[in-house]
Amino acid sequence: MMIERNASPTAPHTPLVWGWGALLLGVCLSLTGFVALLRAFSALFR
Amino acid sequence: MWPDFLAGWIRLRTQWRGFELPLLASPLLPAAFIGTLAGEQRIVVGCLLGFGASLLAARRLRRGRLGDARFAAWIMAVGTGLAGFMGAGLGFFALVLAAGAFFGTRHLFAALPEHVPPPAPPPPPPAAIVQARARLARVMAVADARGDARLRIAASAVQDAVEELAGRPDRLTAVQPFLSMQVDGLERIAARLANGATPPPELTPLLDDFTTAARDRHERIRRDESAALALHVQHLTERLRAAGY
Repeated sequence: MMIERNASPTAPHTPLVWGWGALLLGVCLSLTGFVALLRAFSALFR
Repeated sequence: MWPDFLAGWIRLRTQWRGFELPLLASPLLPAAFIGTLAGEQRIVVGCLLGFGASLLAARRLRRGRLGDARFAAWIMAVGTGLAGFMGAGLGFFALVLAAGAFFGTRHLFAALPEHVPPPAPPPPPPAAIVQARARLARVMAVADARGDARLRIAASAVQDAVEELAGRPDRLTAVQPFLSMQVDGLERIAARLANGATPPPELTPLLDDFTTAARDRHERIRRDESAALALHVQHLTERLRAAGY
């Protein structure tokens, strides 16, 4: 709700909102993926 | 300059909307592959569920309907949570990552245009109403051609009753005999008059009777609706009182 109210296609800070979103999502997903990858590797070489 | 650039960027992002998600979730694929080689089913299932959720969310985002970004964010949260819990074995921390994925997706797709799906077309009126409209239109055409004001008034009163019924098809069965009689009667009178018949003196009071009966019917439909509303209001008031509000 808050996001929809604050971000609008013409608002100058919209790219900032996208940037934060990309960073947050990227960190969370990549972290999950890389930890899973590490875990899989450690299981492979155990 | 800046608004133009932003508008262009939004157009580009709208065009490619959703493809970022599988791209960001792509490390889950080699993890699933290595997990398969290691024979760790839990890792494989978690990673595949996480990647599958990103594909599902992307598909939902591509549709671009109102509320799709919110739904995609929930899918991403569930997928990331599952991948974190099962694939990465992060335990409670998977919930934090799921929350991050949710808010990340919400922010990433904020302000991208979503269209509202067009409302469903209203159901077509019952065949009886369509026929009655067409027949009454023919009667009115005859009345206009002859300059017969009484026939025109009678047909228009019946037309009003028909239009009132068009919005309430559930009442049509009860009123059907009355409607058929009125429309049939007017149609026959109009046909005879069109064929050159001289109107008998009884026709004028008969048309007045048609008009009065149709207006009464129209009024009765409204009265019944008002009575039903009054009953509903009384019922609701009593229920509220009984509930102690």
